[in-house]
Amino acid sequence: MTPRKWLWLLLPSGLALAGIMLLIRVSYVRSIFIFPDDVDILIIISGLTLAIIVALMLILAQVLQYRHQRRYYELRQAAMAEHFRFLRRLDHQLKNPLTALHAGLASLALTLTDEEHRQMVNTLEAEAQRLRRLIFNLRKLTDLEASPLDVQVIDVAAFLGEVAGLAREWPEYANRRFSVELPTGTLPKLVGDQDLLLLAFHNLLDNAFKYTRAGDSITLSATIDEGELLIQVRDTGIGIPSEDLPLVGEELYRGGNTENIPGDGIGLAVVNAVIALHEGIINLESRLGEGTTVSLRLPLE
Amino acid sequence: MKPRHSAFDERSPCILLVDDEASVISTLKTFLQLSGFEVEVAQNGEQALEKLERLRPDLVVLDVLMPHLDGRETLRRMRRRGDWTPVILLTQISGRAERIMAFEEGADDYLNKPFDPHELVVRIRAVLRRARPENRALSSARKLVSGPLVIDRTARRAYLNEREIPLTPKAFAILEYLMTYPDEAITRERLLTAIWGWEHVVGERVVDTRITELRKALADDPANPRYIETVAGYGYRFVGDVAEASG
Repeated sequence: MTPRKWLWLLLPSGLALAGIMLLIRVSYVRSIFIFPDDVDILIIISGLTLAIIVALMLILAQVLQYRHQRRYYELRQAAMAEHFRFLRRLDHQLKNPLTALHAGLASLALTLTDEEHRQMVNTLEAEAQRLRRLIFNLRKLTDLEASPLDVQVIDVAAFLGEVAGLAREWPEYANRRFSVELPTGTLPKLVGDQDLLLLAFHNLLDNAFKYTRAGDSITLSATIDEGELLIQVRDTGIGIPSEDLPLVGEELYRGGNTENIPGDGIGLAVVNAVIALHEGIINLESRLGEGTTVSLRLPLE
Repeated sequence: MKPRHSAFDERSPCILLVDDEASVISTLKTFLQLSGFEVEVAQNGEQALEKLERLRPDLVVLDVLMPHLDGRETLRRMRRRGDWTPVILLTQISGRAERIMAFEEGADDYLNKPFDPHELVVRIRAVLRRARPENRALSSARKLVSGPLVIDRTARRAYLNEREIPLTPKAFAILEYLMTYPDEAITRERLLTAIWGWEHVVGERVVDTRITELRKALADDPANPRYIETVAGYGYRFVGDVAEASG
């Protein structure tokens, strides 16, 4: 991106140089007619031609890049839409059996008298409850795409304070080193759906606390970078195996090193959806056993 | 709230359960019976309309998605022929659109499948408690009024002493929901599912923020509320009297 910016600068300065040379020639020789021995004018003309060619190439590259991006975006949208249609069909097929399971188990719980069977039914009820929650979470994810954002102006510092406040209530908070880093000046306002963003940041911090061990540190930071709001959650936790890194953002997918840690594989998918709705970008960097950094870039108005 | 007593002279309420899924019918019927209701069943809308006339149930639990005559159309036909038997719709998708649709058709309440059957019993009891015979439920009224407070459902606006009060869409939706179920303690989870379309751990904060906004706009003192009361460890309750406004 940056080299292209320099090319754009080269173009007007080349044109200006050619113009100045032409002016000098006109004022000294008092003629703009070209004679065969006028080497200087030939230089000017070839310079101008070169500048025009560079300009055309730049424009072409820009158009191609734009087309490529649009095509990528369209393909991605189509894939997402198909994916959500699948999730809705799944939801549709699961809702009635689960309703029946719930009602049957609740009836059993009311009628069973011996303790051993009651315990078993309780366990089954808890499992059915877990499935129900999973369905609702998947539903929430598919709803996100369809429902409009409830947009408001958000004070970033206060908002991150609220996000940090969520973590303070968790049991792991006591043995993690958690800090919030904000720039010294005031942060600009962010425009977005505060409830959804809170949900996204909750999920990110929840992951950071879940996939770290006692004594690990977790940092929530915000800065302005290239005109965008850059928010990072860095931890020194168990990390994500490199082969899982591209997949952890997908629903129900969990890293290979998370077997002993409860989770439903929805959290990061929700973050992805919320950030996409805000036209932001999410980037994950991780080293197994060393930690993970999640970077979110959100456009500022 | 008056405690419900199981006096002998009071027959148990009769519920008409309508669903095309045999497994849902059989399990839910047993559970509702165990919870103290008399239960009749129907497997589609046509059957439901026929049984409604014959059996005169106290409440209908109606699945939306059914072949032939679906739940919405059944409900529409009931209301069109002047039958205001309370109805709880069993829907499948969450969110605002569903809630508005359910209420517009004249439902008294709705639940998303799959639901906790205990929650269904809570809703049935609540709907029966506020059921007013031969009367439209508050849920289908266009305007609701409680003293100087008026809300216009269609325009999505709230007025206090005839002056409009500025509310965010979510705050309005909460006020609307609480006023639709006056005197009933509503959990935060229920508000979340109904208005945000999701249940979540951050839910409590999200709901509380909007309640604070509402109280400020309504100049309502939480310690001595005229409208919204906090039910400790549970949720909120609308304590004012609510009626349907004319015009």
